[in-house]
Amino acid sequence: MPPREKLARLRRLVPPLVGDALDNLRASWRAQALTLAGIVWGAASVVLLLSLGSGFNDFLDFGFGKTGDRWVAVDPEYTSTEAGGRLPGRRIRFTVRDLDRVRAGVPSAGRAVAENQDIVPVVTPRRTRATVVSAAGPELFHIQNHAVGRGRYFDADDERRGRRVAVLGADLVEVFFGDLDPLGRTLQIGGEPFEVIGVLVRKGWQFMTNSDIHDRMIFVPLSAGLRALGDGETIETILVEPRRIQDEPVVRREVRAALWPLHNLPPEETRAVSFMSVPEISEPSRRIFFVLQLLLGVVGTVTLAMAGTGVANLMIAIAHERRAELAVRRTCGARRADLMLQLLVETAVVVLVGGTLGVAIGLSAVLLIQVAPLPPDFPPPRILPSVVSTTFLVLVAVGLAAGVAPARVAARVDPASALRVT
Amino acid sequence: MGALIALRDVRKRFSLGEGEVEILRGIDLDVDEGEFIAIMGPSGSGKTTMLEILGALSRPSAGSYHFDGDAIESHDDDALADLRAARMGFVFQTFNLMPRMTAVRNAALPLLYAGAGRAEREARARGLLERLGLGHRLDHRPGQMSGGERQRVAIARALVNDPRVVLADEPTGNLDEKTGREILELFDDLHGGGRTLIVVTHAPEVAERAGRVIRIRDGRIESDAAA
Repeated sequence: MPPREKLARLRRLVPPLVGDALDNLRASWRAQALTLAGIVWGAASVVLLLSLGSGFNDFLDFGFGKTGDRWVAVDPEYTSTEAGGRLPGRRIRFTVRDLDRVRAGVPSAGRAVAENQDIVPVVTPRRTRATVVSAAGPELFHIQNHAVGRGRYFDADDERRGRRVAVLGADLVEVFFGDLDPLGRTLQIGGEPFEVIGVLVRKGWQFMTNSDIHDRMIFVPLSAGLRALGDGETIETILVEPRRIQDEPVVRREVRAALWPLHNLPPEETRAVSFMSVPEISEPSRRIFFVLQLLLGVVGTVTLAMAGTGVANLMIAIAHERRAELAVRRTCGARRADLMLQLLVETAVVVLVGGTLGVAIGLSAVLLIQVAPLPPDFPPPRILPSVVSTTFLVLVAVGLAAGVAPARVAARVDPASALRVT
Repeated sequence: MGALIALRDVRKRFSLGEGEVEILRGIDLDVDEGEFIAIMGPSGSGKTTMLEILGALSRPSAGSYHFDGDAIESHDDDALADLRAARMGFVFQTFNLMPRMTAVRNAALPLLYAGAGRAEREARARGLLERLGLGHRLDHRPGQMSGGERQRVAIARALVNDPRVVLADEPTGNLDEKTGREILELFDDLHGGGRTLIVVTHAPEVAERAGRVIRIRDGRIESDAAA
């Protein structure tokens, strides 16, 4: 038959066959209840499991993302080799020159910033409290994914001019200013006055620090902070952000190559600086979460495959029970392909009805979990549109795979058997 | 003008375990347009197998079958299905209606496979059911109808594609005497209207109405005579 004729036949046959399939389902839903329950269960599980999985994934991205997910902290340590006539165990000290070297000599790095942190007394008329203060270049804002809730973050101009300005972690507003608007007000940091120019958005718990420390910190420009926090020139840490996450090992190599000559270090020296890298730290968690997602996916697939077995069983039973009907249809002019189409349409209807019900139940369960009182920082499941479409695609594939073999067998019914039905 | 149906030395064999059994053993038969034929014979004589061949439900093992001039013994399965959809109608002893379909949809079934659109299918099935006195049963399902009404729906289904021949297998076998008579009167009307009818039956009262009675025994035509 030419394709156009086939298509016309398909278009003519499918609507009444869908009607028949729905009638059959209505009339014999009790017999099909178990199969339907299997499909409903399978579809609901897949939606729920995949949504939980994407929730976990968000949690991971979010947990690391809140602190920045790919920077490498370079810390000065002690030498382990003899160099330049000096014994091993020499303390390495970073200054702005090291930062400049890293910026100029590490092509794989997108951003580099120096940061000093210290706990110092911070004073306002309302309160005096020892607080963690970070002094860093404005690039820290991007590297550590800060977000400004009110006011602004300090910029390159503030840094260049050495302005004494400060950005507060979200939880410090109440501590130092109570109900007052902190913007434009002054706090004393290490004895020097700093003007509050911004407040960060609350970050909550972060994987990297296993705390909500960023919400309880004060951020100031490096130039002003160096004077208030230290000796005016020593730098504690340089944070380097690779352009691409996979370049992290290259960045380490390039940092060594850039800094070694500055400190007269021989190539065999390995301990003069240490690296702490977010990708390295997050890797094991990511692996665990990946395995977890894989597990959820496998459980979902196995559940659906079991539902598929139910569908195959049902189709075999239908094909067997309805041999007489199929034979009569053959006497009325149905081709074998028409009977196959009929049984596949029935499979599809059962699968889609069960699947729709299952997806609805799965989505409701997800919504319920989302609004339920969850433990703090428990990752809520997230519904991805692709989860719903994937579930339906898998269901249709399972249904067709389960329905084709029984349909083929059923379509071979001998039309002459219609005469022998008693 | 040639015969509507022409069988020449038609044989039908079935394999039975290791051996083969020949049910039809050389049938020669011509059926002209408009004839009303009763095929009779004892159980196991080959009546139903003959109806099966005549209705293009299976192919002869040997011999030739021309329907309306076409040699159909060489038709493939789809071509036979299309032939049944367009030019044949069947009436069964047990009605063989689809239990979950209304009378209209049951009657319209062959049109679905013959290529008619939905509106045409419905209109033709309704018209036919009304002509057969089932105007009040159009949307009823078989379970809500009497045996006679069901057989009328089955006859409507057999006629809906305006077939060249209607083949019936013991059409009154499951009906009480009065209802059986009504159905036979309907067959008379169809015959009177020029329809070709071939009926397999045990019942003498069916044979009495037919214009020609063919008796079969052991797979051969024993007699073929005007009634």
